[in-house]
Amino acid sequence: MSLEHANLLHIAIVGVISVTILITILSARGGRDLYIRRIPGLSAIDEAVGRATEMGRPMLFSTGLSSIDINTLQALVIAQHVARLAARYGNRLIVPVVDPVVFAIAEQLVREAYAVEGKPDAFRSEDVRFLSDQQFAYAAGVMGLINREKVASTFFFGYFYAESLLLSETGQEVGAIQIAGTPATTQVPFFLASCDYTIIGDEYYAASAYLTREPTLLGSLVGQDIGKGLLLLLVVAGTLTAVPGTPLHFVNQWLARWLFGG
Amino acid sequence: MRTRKWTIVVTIYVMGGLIGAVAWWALVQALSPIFRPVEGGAFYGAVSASVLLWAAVMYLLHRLPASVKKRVVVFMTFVAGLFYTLEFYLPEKSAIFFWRPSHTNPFTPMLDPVGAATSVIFGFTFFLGAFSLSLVHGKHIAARRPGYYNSIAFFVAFAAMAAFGLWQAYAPKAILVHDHWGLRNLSVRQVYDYLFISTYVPLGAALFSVLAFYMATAAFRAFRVRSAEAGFMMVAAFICMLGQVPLGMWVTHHLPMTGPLSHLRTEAIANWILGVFSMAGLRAVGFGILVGGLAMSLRLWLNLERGAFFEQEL
Amino acid sequence: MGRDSQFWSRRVIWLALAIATAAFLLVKVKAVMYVSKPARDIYDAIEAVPASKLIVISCSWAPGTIGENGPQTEALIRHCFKAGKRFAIFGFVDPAGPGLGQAIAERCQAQYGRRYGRDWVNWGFNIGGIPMIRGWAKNIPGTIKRDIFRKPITSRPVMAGIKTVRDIGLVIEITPSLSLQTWVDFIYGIYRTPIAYACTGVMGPEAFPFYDAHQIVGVLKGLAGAAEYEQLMGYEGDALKRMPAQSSAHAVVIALIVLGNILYLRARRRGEAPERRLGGS
Repeated sequence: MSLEHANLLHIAIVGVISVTILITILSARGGRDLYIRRIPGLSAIDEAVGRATEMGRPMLFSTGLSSIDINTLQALVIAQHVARLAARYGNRLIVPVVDPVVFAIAEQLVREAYAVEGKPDAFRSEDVRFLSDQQFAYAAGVMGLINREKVASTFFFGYFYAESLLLSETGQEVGAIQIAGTPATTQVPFFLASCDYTIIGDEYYAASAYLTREPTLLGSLVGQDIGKGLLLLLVVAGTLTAVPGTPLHFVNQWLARWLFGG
Repeated sequence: MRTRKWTIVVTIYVMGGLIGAVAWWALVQALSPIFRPVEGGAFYGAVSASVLLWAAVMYLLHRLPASVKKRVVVFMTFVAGLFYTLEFYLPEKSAIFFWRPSHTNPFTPMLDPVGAATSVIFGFTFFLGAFSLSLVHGKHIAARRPGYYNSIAFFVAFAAMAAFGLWQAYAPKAILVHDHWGLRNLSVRQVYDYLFISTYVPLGAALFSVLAFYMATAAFRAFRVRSAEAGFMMVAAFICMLGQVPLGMWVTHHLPMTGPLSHLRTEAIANWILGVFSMAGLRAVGFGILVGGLAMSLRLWLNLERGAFFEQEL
Repeated sequence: MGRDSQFWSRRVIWLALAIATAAFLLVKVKAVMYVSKPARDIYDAIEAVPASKLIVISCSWAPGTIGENGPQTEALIRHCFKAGKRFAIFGFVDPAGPGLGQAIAERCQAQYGRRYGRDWVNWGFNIGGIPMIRGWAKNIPGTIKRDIFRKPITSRPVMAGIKTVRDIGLVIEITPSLSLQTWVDFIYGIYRTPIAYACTGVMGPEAFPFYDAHQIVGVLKGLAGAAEYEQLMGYEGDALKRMPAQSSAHAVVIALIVLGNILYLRARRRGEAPERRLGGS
């Protein structure tokens, strides 16, 4: 089975999940009331911003190490939410970035957040800065910023690698309240150890729905859950029929031969 | 009523996307003569003409009303996503491509030029980063803020690395100092090696090694056995840590390498935990992340994303 | 714990770890590693590459991870030299990677009587990411064009007969990131070219889903993986020399966890244990 072009299995799985998501989005837009459970990390963003304002110290938001992709776009959605809160409470938000494209978007986002809250003069252009595209140069820069500025709250949202513990431990040292969210599963234990709140796995992609409560995004979340349920059923069905001697084992063998040629 | 409205919207999107894709394909076919490689003066002429054309297009786009700009962005996003979707989901060869000589997918040959064009566009952002850094550090120096000497060091390091990096790439044998200040035949390449191999490389490695110390303090401070599950996790973590190093292997070295008892060796248990339990957990989380990524990609492609900059006027 | 006690306890922990690690770097202790199946599988995969095919060593690492990826690269390059396998150093993620690989190969080649251009080549850093890799798979000389010394790669004897990815016997991705996904998606997924993965220790668990699904032939996890490979090769390189220090560091971390829990239990019994803020979900 070559992955150069889709085969029937690809089309079936992606098609079914995509259609499910679109149907649930339409259903949510039609006025259906959808429940989303509490995600402590996202609920704590307001608390973190408030605490920083009380202490009179700035905040720091890191968008991770990836270039402009869906992880960074999601991080920027959360960054703008935090920036608007910062502007509302009259606080500074420092946003160091690792990519020039992300820098351009982040600067515009934060500037507009301050403008929307009626405080365009409070925005400082040097608070959104490109540090380096090298992993540890960026980490060193962020660690230095955290220490020098004595930030009261740090937000780590995006795709991180080994520098995650460097950043979060530095924030821990200065006594900052820390909220982290990353789809990088290998970095989650480090954030769990050092941060006050950590968002795990696909809760990261639920952040925009959680913060905005937009029907479209909530509907998409429900569609995602249904999609995951379908995949789970597929895994269970595949596992059960893979056992020789079971009634549907021949189906499994035929599918495997047809799809994978062996 | 609402269903009818959505049917119309979806139909317009799909038809618009298909028409856009076909129009683009036709444009590429018509303009294919200008995509042939050129050299010498023609190359520089082509580059200059491209830059001017791009600047003109950007200026025209900038002059458009905000609502039109947003529609242009939405349309371009949809067409770009549709291109990759059609290229992947349509088969490599099929009778539906009846107009093609060997009935091959018409989008596949376009993958390479489209990818190259994307790389070129991203290349324009290179100077943004350097500009931002220069602005920030320049302001520090101008205002003589505390620690402004670090900003001077940034400019010196930036200039030195750029200068010697480019110099040694194009003239590696050039000699900087022949016989002066106690230096004999100091080449540009040697200076570059001092800067990169002897300075930059150890600095990066030193910062990575700081991770070990931070890990130790995080472990001491945060790893608490507050429940039975945490206890199990702690035991698994100890076995995995010991199973990677000679110390752990020595603990069970008296057990045989083969046979049933070999499964009780530290490294065997560690690899079993990593290869079975940890892998299953990673796969499960991976499924969730991938479905979440698919949903977000779908929303971005179809302009369904809401909140933040997605609803702002341009 | 008060702020001052936290300040000093950190420094004491760091000092203890530094002494425990440095002691075993200064005092020579012979380390014996038992080789795991994922590491042995890479060894076997290299041995199985026929003479007509090239091995690609993709150095997607930066100077920061030289401590782990450096010994891995050296062990793999030494194996290729020893076994007489043609290989090319390549980079598409970090510009520094191929240069670091070049320095390692130049240091080792004389010992095995190998020469640049005849036995190995360095394709340098190539921009373009996924589109470049896809184009590379269909036409290697057309995509790479020049080596790290700016000579046409077709002028290098080692490149004889190497036209497409079908002439590549094995790709070894050495990286601290998940750039492996690009190779699995676009090279293994389409052409079934064998892929091996050498990663930093923290990325090790991420490799197992690919290894279990047979999408990669083997894994070297961090410095321990490099040490296992040196053990297989029968030489004591940097990785084996540093393993006693790593053992000592792991022992210190385990001792700190145990100590931390003892102090926590004591404080809880006395009613002094601080309420930990909500973390995670």
